[in-house]
Amino acid sequence: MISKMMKWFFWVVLPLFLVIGAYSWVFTQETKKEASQGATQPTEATVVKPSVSEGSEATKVELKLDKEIYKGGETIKISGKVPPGMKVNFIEITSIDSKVQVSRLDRKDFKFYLSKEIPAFYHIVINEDYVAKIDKNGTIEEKPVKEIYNKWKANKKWKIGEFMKETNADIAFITPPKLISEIKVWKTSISKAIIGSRGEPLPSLTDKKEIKKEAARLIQTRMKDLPKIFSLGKIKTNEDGTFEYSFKLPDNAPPRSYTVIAVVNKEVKSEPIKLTVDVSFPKIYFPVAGTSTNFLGPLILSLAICTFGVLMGAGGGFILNPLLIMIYHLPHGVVAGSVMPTVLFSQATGIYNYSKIGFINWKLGITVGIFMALGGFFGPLLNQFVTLDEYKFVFGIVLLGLAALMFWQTTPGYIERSKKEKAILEEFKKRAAAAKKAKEEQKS
Amino acid sequence: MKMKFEFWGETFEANMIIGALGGFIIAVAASLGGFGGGPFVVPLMTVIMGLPIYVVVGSSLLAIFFNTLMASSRYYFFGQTDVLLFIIMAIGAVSAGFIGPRIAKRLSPIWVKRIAAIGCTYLALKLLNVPFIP
Repeated sequence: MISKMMKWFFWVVLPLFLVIGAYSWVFTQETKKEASQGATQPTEATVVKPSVSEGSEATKVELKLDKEIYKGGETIKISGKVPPGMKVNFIEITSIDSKVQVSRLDRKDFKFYLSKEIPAFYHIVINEDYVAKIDKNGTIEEKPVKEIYNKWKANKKWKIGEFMKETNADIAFITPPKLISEIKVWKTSISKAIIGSRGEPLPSLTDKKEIKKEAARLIQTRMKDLPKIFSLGKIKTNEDGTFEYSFKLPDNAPPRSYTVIAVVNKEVKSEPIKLTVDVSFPKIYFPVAGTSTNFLGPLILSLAICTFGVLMGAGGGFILNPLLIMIYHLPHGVVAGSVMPTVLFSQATGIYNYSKIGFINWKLGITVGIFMALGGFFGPLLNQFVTLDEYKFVFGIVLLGLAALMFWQTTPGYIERSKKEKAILEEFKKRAAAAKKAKEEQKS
Repeated sequence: MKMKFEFWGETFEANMIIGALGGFIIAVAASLGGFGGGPFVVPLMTVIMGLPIYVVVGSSLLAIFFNTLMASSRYYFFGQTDVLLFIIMAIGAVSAGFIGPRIAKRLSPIWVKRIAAIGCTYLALKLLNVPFIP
């Protein structure tokens, strides 16, 4: 009897305490740090105020839009006037109300960066005739922007910082540093990750220059492909200084306010001008994913895939998650975090139904369950640390394993065995139901 | 380390080191990817731990539930759960739970599994960026 209790303690109670203990410890650590940083916040927040353009009347850029309210997929007609002899080289478009959380693990120094204020939509149009000037130790080198763009576009491991430096696009990277008040930083280590923590909290980035650098990297982490953030466009500037450009908003553009800024060079640029994107039913905006789509799309996808999942005897998540990433380009963290809880209902009803007929061995289920909970504690953290490509790789391997399992279940040997086992299972279920009934009758 | 337990009058013995380690690894992969993990836990318990299927069906569900609950709450606290997307996905998943079994009666499970195996392989190759996959 005592040994049985010891075993219970060892396998169930102790791990449970460990999990809960680690969880609460990590949680208090993170909130403590947040609270202490929050206290110093307000004084620094005032520093990051939009700077008023210092240009006089002569060097001001006028900017106009054809409408105030747009819908996703519509074209914004941008026009205006620049001082004679100048040209509009960049146009920056930012969604300032719809923001998303983006995090990134820097593999060089194992720092984990997180910001909740990354614009859900960001774009810089670069004039395709622009010739970039690169300062190389005092000598200025000139290079057509087209060349640089195509070079980086072909590179899968492109770097936003270097790209912006080479194309001079960093002078048009104006709004994100103003929008983002702080970027949280953690120093991760394996020992911290094992207990489920992001790492040792470091002071947040509040310096404007540092925020600018890291904001660009976080935007790259979120949008991934270079053409999604930067595009080459024919910004036509006439001789009298008037210019015009048509920008097509993507279909999945997030709602609410945006700003547009036309940039000539570091000194000469327009005031930010506002526009509103309207997202109306049946299109809806997913605030964490940062995209707007017709809600019927994901609904039908989920229904079809989950039905197929029921037929093949596996949850829908296996197929649903990669499809959500491939079709809607949602971040892998959001996909995993939103699809995972959907199976809770079916699992709970399943457990309830099995427990009613006494068909669950609690000792076995809980013991394995504790270790699965530990795994479930660790996995979501790992999800933040991996890149999309690594996520796809792991998922691909898992799917190959699943395919092999499915195939094995169609082999004659397995079918023969499973027939016998199913018969026993049915027999046991009948017995269980009968016993349950008998018990209830006895009670009444 | 063996664990003894009783199920419907029979006594079973299972190697819990394999169970714990296997469960942990499956749970990490499942919560990283955001799927259930049932198709992996059941073979772990039947084939590797050597338990009969009637012991496993209910108990494996309980074990997976622990993982799903923990991972879901972790994702929620990390701010990675889009509640709107979750609701839409849940509507689809719950209705699939009603529709699925009705269709299942008319289909050969062997063929469904074969098609699923091909589908999963195709998707896996796409995810692994294997060249020449349309």
